[in-house]
Amino acid sequence: MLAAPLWAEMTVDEIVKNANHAAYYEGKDGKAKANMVITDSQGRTRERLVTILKLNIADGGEQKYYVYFHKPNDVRNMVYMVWKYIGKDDDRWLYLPALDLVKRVAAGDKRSSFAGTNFVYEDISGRNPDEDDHELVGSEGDYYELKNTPKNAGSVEFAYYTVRIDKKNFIPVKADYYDKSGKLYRTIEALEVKDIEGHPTITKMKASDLNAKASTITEFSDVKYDVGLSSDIFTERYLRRAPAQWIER
Amino acid sequence: MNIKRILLVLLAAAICAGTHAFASEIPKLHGFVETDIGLKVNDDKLAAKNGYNMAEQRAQFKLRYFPDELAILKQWNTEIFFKTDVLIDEYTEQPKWWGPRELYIAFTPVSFADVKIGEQILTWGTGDYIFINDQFPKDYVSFIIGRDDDYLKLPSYAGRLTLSGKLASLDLVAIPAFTPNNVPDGSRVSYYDPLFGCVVGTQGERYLREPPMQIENTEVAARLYGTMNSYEWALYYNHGYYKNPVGYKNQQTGELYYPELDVYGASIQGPVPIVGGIANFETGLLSSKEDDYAKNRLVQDSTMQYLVGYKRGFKNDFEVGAQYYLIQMLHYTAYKNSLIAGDSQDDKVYQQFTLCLTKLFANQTVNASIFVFYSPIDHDTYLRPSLSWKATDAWSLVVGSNVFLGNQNNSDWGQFKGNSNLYCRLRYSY
Repeated sequence: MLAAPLWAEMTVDEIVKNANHAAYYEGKDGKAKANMVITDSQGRTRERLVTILKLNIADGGEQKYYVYFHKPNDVRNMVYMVWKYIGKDDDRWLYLPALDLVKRVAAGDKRSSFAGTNFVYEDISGRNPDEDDHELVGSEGDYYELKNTPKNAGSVEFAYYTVRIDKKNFIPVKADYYDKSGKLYRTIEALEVKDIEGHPTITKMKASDLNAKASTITEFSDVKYDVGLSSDIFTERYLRRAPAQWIER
Repeated sequence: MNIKRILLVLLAAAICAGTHAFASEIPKLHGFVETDIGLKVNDDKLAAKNGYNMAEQRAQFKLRYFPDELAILKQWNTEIFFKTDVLIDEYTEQPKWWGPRELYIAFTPVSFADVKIGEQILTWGTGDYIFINDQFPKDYVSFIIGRDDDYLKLPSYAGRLTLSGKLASLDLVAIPAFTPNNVPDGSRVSYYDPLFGCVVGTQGERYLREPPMQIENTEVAARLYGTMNSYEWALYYNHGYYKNPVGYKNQQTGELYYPELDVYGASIQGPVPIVGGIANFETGLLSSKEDDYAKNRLVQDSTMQYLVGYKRGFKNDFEVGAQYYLIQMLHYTAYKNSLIAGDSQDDKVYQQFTLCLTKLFANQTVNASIFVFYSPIDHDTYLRPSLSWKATDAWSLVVGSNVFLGNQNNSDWGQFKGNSNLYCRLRYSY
């Protein structure tokens, strides 16, 4: 038994906690550029280029996000800000530069599309693990396989989803979403994982909508951890005037 | 206009100085070109043109420039922003160079202070298309004929200082050059003229007198604000003038002016426990200083104004917002006593409801929305339905309508009945 690897003794909850940390809570803060290319069923593409600043207030808990749009041109310089909470609605703001308007946005459905891509809000900022029941359905080879069933089935569009988690760094490398009839209709894949400053990091990921035959590939560049973001970056002041230190102009 | 010229020269000088020192970083040009057409659907044939009230081609250019060559400017994170529209307006039958729409310099001289000087758009407050404490200039003609929402706001020539603190922040704004609201004057949009006692177009005779640009006429606005546990609070102060011409200099000759106005207000905005969604409350005392407690019948009376709003999102990109707006005339008895035969009498209380429904389709490339104003006092309605489609990242198409309903010719929205339109806009962004 002494020779048995550490992961063998891990409970489902520990795996989920570690995976949630690896995917969304690495470092005290972080910064990245995300280029998202949406391809529809006819091969037409749209592009979104944003800079994301993120501050972890509590591991596995509260976070702040600042998303600055570089592309497309009609929303250039727009900023979207989220104060994410666990167990209550997020606070969201939108800054529209042409009107110098800071607009409080009603927290909508977290399963709706982020900026018209095939990613939903929960893919970007994480889904609260407490909202699902987790079951370890496999642990052969290098991966854990988890089946996650929502506690409140009416709150989401899926019946359940499975996640494949890399045993060595707990990065979720693939998620498959099944509808009420048991049919696979949506997948999220990590296409590239890199070690950045000691943090395992997904640098390329793909969301596919199998029904609509559309997909979005997001590539993260210029990823940095622990850059020294403070809470006051995530306030109205910096919505109106983007922080030059962090946002490429 | 002199100020525009001065600002342009300053910008040119700054860019020349910058590019001269290091021609390395050339600012990128962005903007759009668009064409707009608005066809009248219930034409009262009073305005200058029949059949339509918008037919224009517009090109917008935006330049953002960071004069980083001078160490001090870089250290202050200095930014110069320039935005201009070139408009070919087939309604007025003349190409029009609009000059800068925004032209300002912004910098951070100390860590807790931001400064922005020049021609700029200023916005604050919690309302959706309803403004109590936001007394900055607006273009209601653009709003009524269906130009893009960006054109509801007019720029101010202003200096703005923002002091940021942990618990609260303070905005201080000084506006030395008065900019009034652009309100219907009959040439493009017909309106109710109390002098004629009816809706007038080009035959209306009004002369609008702006306060002259003098140091003592500088308008001042301040906002103290902060966020506590997801709730945003703010206190407001405005010292300046009504932006609508609500005072008569000479009633016989139709000479109107912009009386002095002080506004004291407050707002709070935040999540509603249990049911979810965002609620907002805003109030303001609009103190009409020249009205002498309503004894002066030629000047707008002081009012208390209240706004309550609520919005929430639902599944599948559907959002609903509603507002209730109440204006209460102060000193109503004195106001009534001041009226003379022939004056129309306003109600003591004015109420208005708004409803906004928005739904996104096709991966958020199609936006269907409707915004409705309805006053149970005047029984008039303004409907703003629109359907927009982002065909590609660059091309967008909007069709929409501005529909005014109401039987009273002198009501807020009913007076614009003859200007209802159906509009279409095609835009290419770059």
